[in-house]
Amino acid sequence: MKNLKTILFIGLLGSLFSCEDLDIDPQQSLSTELAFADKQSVEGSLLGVYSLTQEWEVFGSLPQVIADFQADNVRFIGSFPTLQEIGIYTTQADNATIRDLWRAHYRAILAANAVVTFTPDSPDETLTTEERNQYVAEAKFMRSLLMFQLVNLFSQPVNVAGEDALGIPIVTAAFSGEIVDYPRNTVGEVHDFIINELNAIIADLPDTYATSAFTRGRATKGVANALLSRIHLYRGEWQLAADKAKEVLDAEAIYGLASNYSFWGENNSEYVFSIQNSEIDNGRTGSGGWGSYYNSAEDGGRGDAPFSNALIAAYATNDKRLTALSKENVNGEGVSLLYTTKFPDVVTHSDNSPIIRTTEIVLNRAEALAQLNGVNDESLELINDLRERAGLEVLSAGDFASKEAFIAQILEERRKELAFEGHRRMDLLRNNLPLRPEGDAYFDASKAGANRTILPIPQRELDINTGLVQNPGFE
Amino acid sequence: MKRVLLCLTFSMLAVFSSMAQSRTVTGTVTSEDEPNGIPGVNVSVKGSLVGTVSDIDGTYTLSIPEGSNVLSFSFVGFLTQERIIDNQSKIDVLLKPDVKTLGEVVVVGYGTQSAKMSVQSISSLDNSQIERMPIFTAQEALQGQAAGVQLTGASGVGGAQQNIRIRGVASLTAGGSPLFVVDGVPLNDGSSGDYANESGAVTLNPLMELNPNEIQSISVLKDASAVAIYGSRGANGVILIQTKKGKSGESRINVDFYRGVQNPTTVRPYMSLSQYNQYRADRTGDPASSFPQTGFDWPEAVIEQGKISNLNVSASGGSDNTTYFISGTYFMQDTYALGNELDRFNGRLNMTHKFSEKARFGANVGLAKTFNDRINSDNSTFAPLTSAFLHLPYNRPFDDNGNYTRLGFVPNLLALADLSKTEYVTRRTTANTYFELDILPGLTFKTDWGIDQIQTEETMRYPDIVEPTGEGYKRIIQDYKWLSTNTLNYEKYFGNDHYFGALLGYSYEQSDFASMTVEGSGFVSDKLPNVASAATPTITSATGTGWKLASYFSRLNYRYKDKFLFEGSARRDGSSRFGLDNRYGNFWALSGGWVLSEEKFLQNNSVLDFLKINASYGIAGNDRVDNFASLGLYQAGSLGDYAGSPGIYPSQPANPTLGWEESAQFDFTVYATLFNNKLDVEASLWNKRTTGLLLDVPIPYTTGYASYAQNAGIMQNRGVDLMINSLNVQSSGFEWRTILNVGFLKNEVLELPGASEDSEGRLFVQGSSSQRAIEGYSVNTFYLVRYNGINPETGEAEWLNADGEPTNTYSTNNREIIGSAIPRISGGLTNTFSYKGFDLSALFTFTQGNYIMFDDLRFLYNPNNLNSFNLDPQLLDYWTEDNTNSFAPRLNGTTQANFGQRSSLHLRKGDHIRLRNLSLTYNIPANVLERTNILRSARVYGMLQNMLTFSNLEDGLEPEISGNGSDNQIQGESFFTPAQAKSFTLGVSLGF
Repeated sequence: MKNLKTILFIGLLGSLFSCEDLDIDPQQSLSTELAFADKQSVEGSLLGVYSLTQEWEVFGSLPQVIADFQADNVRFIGSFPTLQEIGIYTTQADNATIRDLWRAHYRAILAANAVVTFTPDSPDETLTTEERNQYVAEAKFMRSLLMFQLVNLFSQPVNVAGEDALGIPIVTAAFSGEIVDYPRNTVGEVHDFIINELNAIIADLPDTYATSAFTRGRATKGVANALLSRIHLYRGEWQLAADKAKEVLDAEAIYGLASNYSFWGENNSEYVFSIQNSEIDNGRTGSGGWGSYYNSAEDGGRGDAPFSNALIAAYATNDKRLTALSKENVNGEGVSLLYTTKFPDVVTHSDNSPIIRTTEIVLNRAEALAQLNGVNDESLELINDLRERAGLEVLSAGDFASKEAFIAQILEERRKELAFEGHRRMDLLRNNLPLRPEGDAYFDASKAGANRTILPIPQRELDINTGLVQNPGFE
Repeated sequence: MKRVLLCLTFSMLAVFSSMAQSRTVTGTVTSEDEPNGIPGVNVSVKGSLVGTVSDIDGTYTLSIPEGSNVLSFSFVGFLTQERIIDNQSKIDVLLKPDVKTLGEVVVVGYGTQSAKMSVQSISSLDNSQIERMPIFTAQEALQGQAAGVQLTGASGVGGAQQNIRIRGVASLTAGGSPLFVVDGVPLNDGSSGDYANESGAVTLNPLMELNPNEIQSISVLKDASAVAIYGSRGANGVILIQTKKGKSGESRINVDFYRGVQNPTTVRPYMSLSQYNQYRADRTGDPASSFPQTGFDWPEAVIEQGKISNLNVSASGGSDNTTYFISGTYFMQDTYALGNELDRFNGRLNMTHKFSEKARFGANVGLAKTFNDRINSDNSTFAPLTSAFLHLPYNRPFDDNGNYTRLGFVPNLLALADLSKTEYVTRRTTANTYFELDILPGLTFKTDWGIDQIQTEETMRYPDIVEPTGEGYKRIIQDYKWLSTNTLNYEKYFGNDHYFGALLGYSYEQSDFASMTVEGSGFVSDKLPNVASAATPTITSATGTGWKLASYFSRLNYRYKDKFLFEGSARRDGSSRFGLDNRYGNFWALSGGWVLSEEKFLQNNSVLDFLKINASYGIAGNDRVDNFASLGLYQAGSLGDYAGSPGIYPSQPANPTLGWEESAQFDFTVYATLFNNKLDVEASLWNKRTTGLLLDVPIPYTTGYASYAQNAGIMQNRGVDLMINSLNVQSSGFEWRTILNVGFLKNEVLELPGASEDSEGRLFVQGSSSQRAIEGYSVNTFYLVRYNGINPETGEAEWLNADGEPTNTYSTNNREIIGSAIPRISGGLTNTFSYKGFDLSALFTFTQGNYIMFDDLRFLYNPNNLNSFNLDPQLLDYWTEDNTNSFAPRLNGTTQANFGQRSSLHLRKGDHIRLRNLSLTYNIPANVLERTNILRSARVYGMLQNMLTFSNLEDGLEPEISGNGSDNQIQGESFFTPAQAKSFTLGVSLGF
């Protein structure tokens, strides 16, 4: 009897051995196979690409604020050592902020590559060829935009160092599990890649979408042309820059200059492309964001990026771009500082990230035509549109002694229109101009072509990718 | 899961027992050594005067008086046994040798063993070593009291987690903390990122809800033979905690109360307003009078005297069949940092009951609520001691009208402490019930059902003055873990010489986690506390996850003549965390011991009482990886969503071959007792080699990912643990005892295939900007540019280049290996003196051989931060023609901008000795107590914590820090990490 009980217990204990089911599925994620299984998930994977560019390090203000404070628009008074060193031209290759910036760009590029690679083979038959082509074209647009921002940050401009200057790695394949040590392509190769890709996808992109948020916030024919216009302008390919700008401006039903500066914060014809942010979905981090850099501490921001004295001096006192778009703040020490009001939402950080505005396209065309034709009526008309909006007197051909003076005026308008949107650094460098005015402590270090006017390839990447070469001066 | 429950329920149905009554009892008393019967055994009827002695053949006959039901068997050298009579007329008894003859009992995995006969390497603490300290969590008691255990207080802020490493760190990316098991229930330790919280209770402290007053003993399992039975969770060591149990007999009530004050052990220097203005004037050329002349002393306002108090009431006792222990505690700490308070309510009920001589059950239930008011984590400008030292001295908390000012990125702490709500509440139930049945003599079945249920609730509510329009946040986490452990235990002597023990078990464990987070901004009034009142909900999130673990385990013991000892253990674990290819892992250990003092050549030795050597080898694993680490994932949520439409993004590359980390450990231990048990010495030599190290191999960002988890690396920890327990003096009324615990540790990374390669060709994995794991060196190796000081000729700062030559150019290419964050030696020395009711005890802890990176100094020493932050006063000591031996470079020289760059300027040696605890207790003599007619015992005591620290660190730098918590790859770094508190406490303990 006792033995029977023992056997019974051991038997019951043994029966437990088949009790387990150890499979659990993740609840907040999909496996990679499911990410392209049907139309909803394919579109979700595409929107994920846009979403990754909302990040602080991509279009969420970091590269843009660097462009304005490394140049002469912003007096950077923030305390982040990694940003301070960029501003005082002592940038080191182990700068963690630059490392994260590089990472976030390629993360979005690889997400785009996955859409390009896997969308054509999605098993969902309700997904039409047109839809597939459009999704692929959108992803290709985004990776072009990202690579262009990267090459501008990490490479000497083509006017300074030529087509063969060190560019950035062109990566077009989805990650397969195999680790490829991508080398840096040349600046010329990167530009060629972007130009060819953009020209090829225009046919597959729509003019508009069903909602204004998507029309302004997703890739369209207009924004592909607009980006081409900018690239050609940066490359000094004036006719192409002017032509592509015209294609955008001709789409008058979609794009046009706003009549005053109250356009900020809405999806209207002023915007060719802006990354859509909201209270619940934006790239702000504890480290920074549009609202926190550009608002004073008293208003709840970090207050890191007020107007530089040079920028204040550049504006006429009645210029509406100054009077309608700035706010004075007296800091704890009693010093008066001026902040832009282009990004007022310091509380929930819902301001969109402006990437391309109609104003830029107007300025692109004005500048390109001036380069081609000297002082000309169309360029004059274009910049006078902007000056009238700013409440300033119009200019006439007689005001300019030379082609150079005329171009200088267009660049000055460009600076005042696009201040704090991340354009200033490249607008100076591509014209062989120093980033800082004469008399600035860093004037010499900021000259076009100087080593620390561009960013170093992150040390982490050099350490593990033997195909990469560091920029001169950072070794 | 239902299937599992059903299976387990069936296994319990077969349990039954019967009871009845009878009046005359006969039987035979035997033992293993005397199977034919022991003569002269006292047999008595409990609760009566009736009794007899056994005959020459061990038999007895006894008639039982009315109302009695328990027989007691006692004999010198054997354990007294009690048997319930019920309806039995024949009761045979097998007496077991008194364990005292074999030494004390230690708690081991799934059981207990005689300390002297055990072949496992274990450090034990009993409650007397825990109760002498005013501590919040039980881990703190381990510091300096367990050889081979390195413990670092994460910070001096209340509720901060202690960072524990048993015999070194055995992992890079997976968790490095030991497994905590309370009364057989492995605790959730929050090692997953799911427990992340805003307020920075760095990670969930698994013992936060357990009151040290309730603990009976702590066993630290160290070698493979001890931990292999915990299989995939044993590689980091295991800490077994037994809570107090009641004893049969009179009920006893204990009341213990203490109260004290706390202050920081050290406070860093900072510039006063006039110093700051002076420095600014020197830098800019403007007169100091042109700068603000009114300011505020932030550190003085933020550091206050802390308070600590604790009240514990407990009762224990029981009848012959039932025992109980019941306890309630209130602990309160208001730390020295502004806005940082902690309180905790604990309740515990432990009970056991005998159904019959063969069937028992028991339950241990612990309930706790911890309330933690904590402004924010240390690595944040919202943390009081961070921002106090960063605030510009002319920033003022109040405007001229007396209203709070809004100060932005470094917030107004006074407003924050006064108006904000920053609460972190945990509620935890840890409980188990068990049923035990003796199936055959020596064979026991036990089924044990446990839960560890945690709820955390974090509430933040910032007022308008801190976050414009106000901000509210609430996060609730529930983690419900249950487990069932079923074991068969067998123990028998065969003849005189052969002892045989066996354990066979199955356990199943499952954890279900859910969280809910909401955040909103835009409040009409600061008086509205909840997110529901926010105009804009910015986060609405709910998540879920979980894991399962199924295990089979076994342990076999064999002893020959209590002289040759053998043990083998094995466990097979299946975990949901691993890919299908690697779901199950096997772990095992073998050990053997030889009691040399039993040999003839050592018998009758007047010096040596006991001498044992034992050796073990085995393998344990580490399962602390993310729940879905092996899957390729696209994640949904706000990082995927765009323009109001749902989206997903690639978040993790697939890794189907992901497997377990395995630590193979060899241990050789010598244990000796000398001089009539006055000196105990235990020394262990051990070598732990971890293979299949989970390596987040960094891959180029051009893959779209940051890293790729691989089982690639190999790491080795080697060391010696030494324990000496000496009764130095024992004379009439006076006793002096010394206990030394010391661990020597060397950590070395042996292989990191696939990792990054530095300029010298060494493979490494980066932990932080200051430290990395490097092949051939420690896992926490500081890799920094060497700072060489200010050149007295030029006034410029100098660093050393790769050739060791001074240079004025700072370059990260000149980084070098400087040292390790892991101490080579750590331990503690306790001296206790007793004289006529007075007990004086002093515990010194010490650490040698580690470096600490004070990342905060990069801010405070950085001349570029003029007008951004307050600075270290040493910056005023800059180079001039008249001051060539200076701290800082010449003003506006070429190296000033780089002076703040990360270098060995910010690194310090961490060697220190600390008087961790000094306590004086007076036990009121029994003859005084007798007169009260109520008091059974009474003592009053005073305790000093951390009162003295001996180190080479300058003022303000705390040697005992772990600013990044238990992150294996970032140790010994501080970012304004608050210093440990020193406290003075008085208490009284009364027994009724």
